[in-house]
Amino acid sequence: MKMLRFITVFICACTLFAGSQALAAWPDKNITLIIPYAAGGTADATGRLTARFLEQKLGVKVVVKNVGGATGTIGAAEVARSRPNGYTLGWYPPGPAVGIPHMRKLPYGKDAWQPLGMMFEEVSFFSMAKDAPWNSVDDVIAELKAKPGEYVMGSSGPGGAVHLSIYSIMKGLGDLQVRHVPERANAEILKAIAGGTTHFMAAQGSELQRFDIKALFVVDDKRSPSFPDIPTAKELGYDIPRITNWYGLFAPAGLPADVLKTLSGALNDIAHDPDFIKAGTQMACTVNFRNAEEFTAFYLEQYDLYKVLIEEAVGSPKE
Amino acid sequence: MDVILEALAQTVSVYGLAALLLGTFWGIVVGALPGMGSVLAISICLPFTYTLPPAAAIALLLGVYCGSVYGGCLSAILINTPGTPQSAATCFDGFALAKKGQAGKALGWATVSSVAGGLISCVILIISGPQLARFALRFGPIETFALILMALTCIISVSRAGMLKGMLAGVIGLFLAGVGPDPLYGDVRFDFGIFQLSAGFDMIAVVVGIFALAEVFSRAAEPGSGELPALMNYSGMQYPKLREIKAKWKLIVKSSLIGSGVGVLPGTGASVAAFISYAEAKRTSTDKENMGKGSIDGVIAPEAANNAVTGGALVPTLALGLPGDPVTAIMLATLVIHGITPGVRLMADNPETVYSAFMTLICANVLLLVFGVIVARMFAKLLRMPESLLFGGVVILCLLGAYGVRSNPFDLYVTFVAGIFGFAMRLYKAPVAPMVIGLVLGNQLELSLRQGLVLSRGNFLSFFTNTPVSAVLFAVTACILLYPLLKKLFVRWRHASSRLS
Amino acid sequence: MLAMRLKNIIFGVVMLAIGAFLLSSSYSTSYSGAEMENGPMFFPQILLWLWVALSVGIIIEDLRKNAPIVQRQQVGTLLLVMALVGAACVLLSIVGFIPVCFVFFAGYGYVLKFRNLPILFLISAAFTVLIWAVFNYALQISLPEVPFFVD
Repeated sequence: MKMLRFITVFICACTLFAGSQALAAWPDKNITLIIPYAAGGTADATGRLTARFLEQKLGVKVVVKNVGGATGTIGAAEVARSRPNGYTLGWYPPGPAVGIPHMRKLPYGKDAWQPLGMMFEEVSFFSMAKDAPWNSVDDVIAELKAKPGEYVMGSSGPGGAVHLSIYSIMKGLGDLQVRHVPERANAEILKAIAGGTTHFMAAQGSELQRFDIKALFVVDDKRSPSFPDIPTAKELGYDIPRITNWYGLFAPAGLPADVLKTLSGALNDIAHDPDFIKAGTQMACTVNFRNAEEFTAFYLEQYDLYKVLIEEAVGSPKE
Repeated sequence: MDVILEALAQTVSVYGLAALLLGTFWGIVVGALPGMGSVLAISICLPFTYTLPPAAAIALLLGVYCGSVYGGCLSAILINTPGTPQSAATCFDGFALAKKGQAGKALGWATVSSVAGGLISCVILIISGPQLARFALRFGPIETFALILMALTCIISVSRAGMLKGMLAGVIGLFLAGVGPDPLYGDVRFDFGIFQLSAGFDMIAVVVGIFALAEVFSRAAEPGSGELPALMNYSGMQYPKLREIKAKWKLIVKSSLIGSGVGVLPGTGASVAAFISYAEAKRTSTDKENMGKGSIDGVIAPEAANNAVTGGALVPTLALGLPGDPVTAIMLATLVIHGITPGVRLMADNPETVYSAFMTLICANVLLLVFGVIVARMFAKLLRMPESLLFGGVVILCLLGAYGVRSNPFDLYVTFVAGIFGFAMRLYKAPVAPMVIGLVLGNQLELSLRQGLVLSRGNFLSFFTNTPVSAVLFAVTACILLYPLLKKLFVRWRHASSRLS
Repeated sequence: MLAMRLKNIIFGVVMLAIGAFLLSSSYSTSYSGAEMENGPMFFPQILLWLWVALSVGIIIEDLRKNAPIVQRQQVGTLLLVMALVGAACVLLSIVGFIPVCFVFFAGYGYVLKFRNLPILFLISAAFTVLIWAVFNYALQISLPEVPFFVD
């Protein structure tokens, strides 16, 4: 009898405990933000910045975990297989989410994510060395048509935003024939341009400011506020898909609605916080916010866009 | 002039000095702990850098960088396990000296060499930073390929057990580096369907296994192990006399130049510099036979070189905005976060930052002389523990270090297998160094080769005639490869001609 | 003599086997693009051919040696230590840091003849707690955690 009573009390206590856990407001303990790249890169810097502001907004510690490897897929896979309770989040650029799934088999797919919010976005500038002999797009086109395969475009890796940017630019300018030399990071492309072995790249605004390169146009719907003199590709009459390098917060799919609402609201506030924008600008990163719905739509659209482009630019997906 | 004063003010500000002192000390401690390397030490400091003023943040990072590269020699010499990959070359002669009871002498020389290497590289950085950076820009893919090939050949050529085993070790290392995504197409190679392998092998995990775990296994296998010997008598660090230092000045300067050069050039790092310097010292040392068995040259060369890399790697970081290695990449990011843009504009926009960085690095190097003694004493106290307990702790730290790089349990399996393999290599007298270097350099070597082939449109022969720089590097590589053969032929010719006369 | 020579060439033979296996798998069609000029298998295949050739060379070289290459070893302790370390590597992320650290530290000390059990357990526990505290609170590096305690 005593044993039975004890068991009953024990079960009730457990239920109450479990129940109270469910009733406890999210978040009530630390959140882990997985950044699938090594410390010190742009992904890491922007992710940590967002983490700091999230901490203030949510009132719990947001601990950053760098899980690098395989161009971001190892970290992304870890987020994908974690429990969708809002305590494990991921911070990625396009690569692991919409690019690499088309290049090889991964343990996660299109439906693995609940996009929470995009915080940064960098548009691409069609760039070359500052002392390059061309000053207009027509000059470039003429030269490249006269000497197909003579010039080199650089990227930071096959299938990445930077690669697909310059690829679609070359395609949009008239299927110009260039050779592709990939590097391991944007810094290396800039070095190659300075050294003269690479000629064209899709650069970001910060790189345009810091390095000795010039841009002939920007691939965006409007001119960049930091570079009002640089025309858009559209103005010049070229139809080039808008491929950007963005950073956003993701959760594994299946997030409870209330958690989604809290996170979405927090990100919205952060993105409009002048301190956040100022910090971002100091890092030479452009804050551009899409909330959860907008970001989800954007994510799906990018997924399909990358599929097409990667098939052309890199080759068909391998098993 | 007031720029220099401004820089001085920043450097000796309260925050700046505190950051420097703490950073250097912390760096030495972490560097000395097996399994924990420079990147880990710096990553831990990252959160603190956000709240510090820029000069202090840089002081913290430079202190940690400088200290950790030096700190590795402590455990390399005392327990034959390098505290950081950069000190792997110091194990050979360092530990041999310790076994002979000369640990204090070895440590003293290691400290002096590290300080000298760091200071010399600072001088080079200050004098010729921008010109060096511009020279580094001329290293396109083909030059980089030639350079790495030369480095590999150099290291293989001094392997003790003969060229074949050394070359195989190098090839294995290069191959292991290639496991993972292909640099041109993104295909994953040799993952055999295991997702975790698609990231390839992490260098820290492999180095920890090959050096630290293999050492643990070796000690377990030694007949008579397990009795409780206290580790060798350590009576305090003994700094070499000024007269002795002067006698070795050529070696010190040469090693420092190698380190600075390697730091400035792309695709390499401090561990490579240490091995190249060691190989070069072995080739030209007057004490050649003793190298590997307890020659002081074998401690001076790698330690001077690896600390010289710290100054060298700052050159492309500050002057071009392009980081020279993972640690300077983090430093670069910190600068950027604070709104300072390294690169061609840095001297124009923020000159006091540049001067402050030089001064900080010089101070950090000098601090090594003091902190080195203190930390060495701390470690020596730890070493009085019985080996059976001490190495238990070493293993745990190493496993945590291997795990902590990518928070990936798979890396632990890699470390274990690397340990077994490293142990087997020791048994069969195959040199481990070329394998580590192959792993470190493999990706860059392959990338440069494939990039070069795209640029030359598949014409490999044109590599040799690409630019004067690449031609020279290939020629040197050929010489290093053919030197032993030519020597043998020369000796035989000598014999034949003397018999005739 | 023959036994010694056979023992000497074990390293070379094993390397040859591994190299040959990898080389043959690099030609398998599961890697598309294997036929490409500057394709994914281009560089690895160069390396693997070198690997195989060097292994053969090493076998020949070691066969001609007149002395055993490998010295006498204390196999029992070695295998125990290997098993302990291997178990630690595997279990660290399955069972979590604290139990593995404690058991390994004590086990390793015991195998290497530190037989003073109370002191051994005390030091093991102290070390485990120290590392856990430093990493968790001071350094904020994530230690391998037990899956069912993590939410």
